[in-house]
Amino acid sequence: MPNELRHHPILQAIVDQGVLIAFVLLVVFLAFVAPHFVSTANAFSILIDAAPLVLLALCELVVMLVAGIDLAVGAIAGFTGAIAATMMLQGFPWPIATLLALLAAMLAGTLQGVIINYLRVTDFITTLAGLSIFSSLTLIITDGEPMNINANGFNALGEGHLLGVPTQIWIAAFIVLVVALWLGLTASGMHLYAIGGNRVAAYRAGIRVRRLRSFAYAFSGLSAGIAGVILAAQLATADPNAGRGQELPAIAAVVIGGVSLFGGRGSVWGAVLGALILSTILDGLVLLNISPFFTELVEGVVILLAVMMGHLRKRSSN
Amino acid sequence: MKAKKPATLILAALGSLALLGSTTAAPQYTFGLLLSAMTPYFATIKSGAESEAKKLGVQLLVENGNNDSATQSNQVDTLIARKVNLLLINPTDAKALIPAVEKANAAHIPVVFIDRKADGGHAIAYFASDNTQAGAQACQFLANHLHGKGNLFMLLGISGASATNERSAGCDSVLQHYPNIHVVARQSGHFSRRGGLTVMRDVLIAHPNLDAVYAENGQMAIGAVRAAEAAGRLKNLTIAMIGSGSAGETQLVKEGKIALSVAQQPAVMGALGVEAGYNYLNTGTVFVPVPLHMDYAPGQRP
Repeated sequence: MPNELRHHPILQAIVDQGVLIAFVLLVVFLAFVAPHFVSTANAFSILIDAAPLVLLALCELVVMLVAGIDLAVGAIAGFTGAIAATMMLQGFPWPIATLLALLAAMLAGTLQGVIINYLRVTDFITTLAGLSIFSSLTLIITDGEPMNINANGFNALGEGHLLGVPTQIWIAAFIVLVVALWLGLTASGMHLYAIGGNRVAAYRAGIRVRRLRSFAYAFSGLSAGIAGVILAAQLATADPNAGRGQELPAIAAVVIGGVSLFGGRGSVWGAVLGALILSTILDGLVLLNISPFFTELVEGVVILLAVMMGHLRKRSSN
Repeated sequence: MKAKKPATLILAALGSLALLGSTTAAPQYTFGLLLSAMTPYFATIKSGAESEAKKLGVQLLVENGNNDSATQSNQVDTLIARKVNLLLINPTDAKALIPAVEKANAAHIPVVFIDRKADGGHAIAYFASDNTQAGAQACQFLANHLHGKGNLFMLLGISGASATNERSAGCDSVLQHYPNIHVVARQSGHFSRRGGLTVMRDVLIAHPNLDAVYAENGQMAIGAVRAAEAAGRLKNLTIAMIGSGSAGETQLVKEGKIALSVAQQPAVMGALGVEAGYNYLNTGTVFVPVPLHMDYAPGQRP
């Protein structure tokens, strides 16, 4: 019981303050050294880039809580954009095309979840296959060419504003809120932590482990799909390579945010902060005109520092 | 298409009649086309090659190497085992694909390089545009347009890719003669539309007095235009890109949002590769250069 208490999301959030401190230090540092870093335009620039990354990080957070991993999130994002664009070309009104594309994304995630939990193929292998399959389906659907999207309503999801704030920031914030409420206040949210903490114990306690783990993958598919809609809308294009490779920054974001790869530990707050830290670093590197050769070096060092800091935190809390 | 059919039938009939004497079937070639990846640019090479193959009655097997040299080498092996008549290779890597090309040589299957080449093995032809020249032409245009003075953003391709290195070298070779053109940023947009958009957004914030953008492919340039439009800065910017002549790019040039596209012609490359291979198998010779095409916006022609 005390162990479970320590994994309680609210306590977890307090432990996660180390990441917040790192983020604040990063922002203060860049405010001093990077020209024009402190401006509304730049704040929005960081948040706009962070929006799809936050959604993909939420995918990883939820599946990692149940000791899984989803390598297919970037591929499903691209796949969703391609489906939405195709249906709009076929004459479907954009809200229907978008909803059906999101449904397809959720189905894709559900399919992965079912294969993992009922057919017992490991999470890593199933989603690695998913990465290949959905990347390929996107190429097949788009025939390798960018598909233009002319529906203004759809494109507004990625380039519009609401109360002066870019739409995709609202969308990401809304999903963050929903997931925070889900994990923090509902029984199924708590059960995700329990499954990741000790699957056998969770099963014995009456938690329907396979069903809930499958549901985690269904959510991952849906959240990846929403990220895909934003990616397509902000360019008014379904790019045949959209989302490709985005699973790695998403995994990096949650790792930076203190989410455990082995399940049971992690918070929405951490995933969001991790994504913000990565977007802020990328933004800072461009503002400072650091050679792109260094980008991945910096990212790698930040991931290592974050994980080492997490170990220190864990040791001190023991 | 329909109207042509009877004529083709007659030709085919004549062909088989002519061949009756030699008792061999009409030559039905099968070519393998190995693309390094399936980006819009390579998809255009593919469609150019496919339409030419259809015209010549060649069966074309297309493989996507997914930017992975091991995958592409396996695909070469498979096509050699299938005994294709010719391989059109767009290598994922200049070094890693040498053994695969040598295997094709050993199997006496002629090789044509498209867009990129391997550093070893033997090929009967290599169709590509001159990347260094393309970079130089784009930046020469910008230098003239800025009258040798101003702030330039170099929007680079994937770090370490040969296309990036050669295009940048071409641009730099011109800019060194213009000390008053300040390259205020050199950043990578990874050859993608989204990369161009996100990097351009930040560069516009960091440099309120930006005058011109040099983009190393069309996808990034399209992204950069969107960022500049959103920031209300497009009017004050001159953008030159190394394009591929795609519909989206051509539209922006027509609208004057991109001042110059030094357009590569991937469809032509694909078609010429197939045509050259076909001619080589029939006649034993090959020669076709691929010119670059200057696509100016209204009023930009020097």
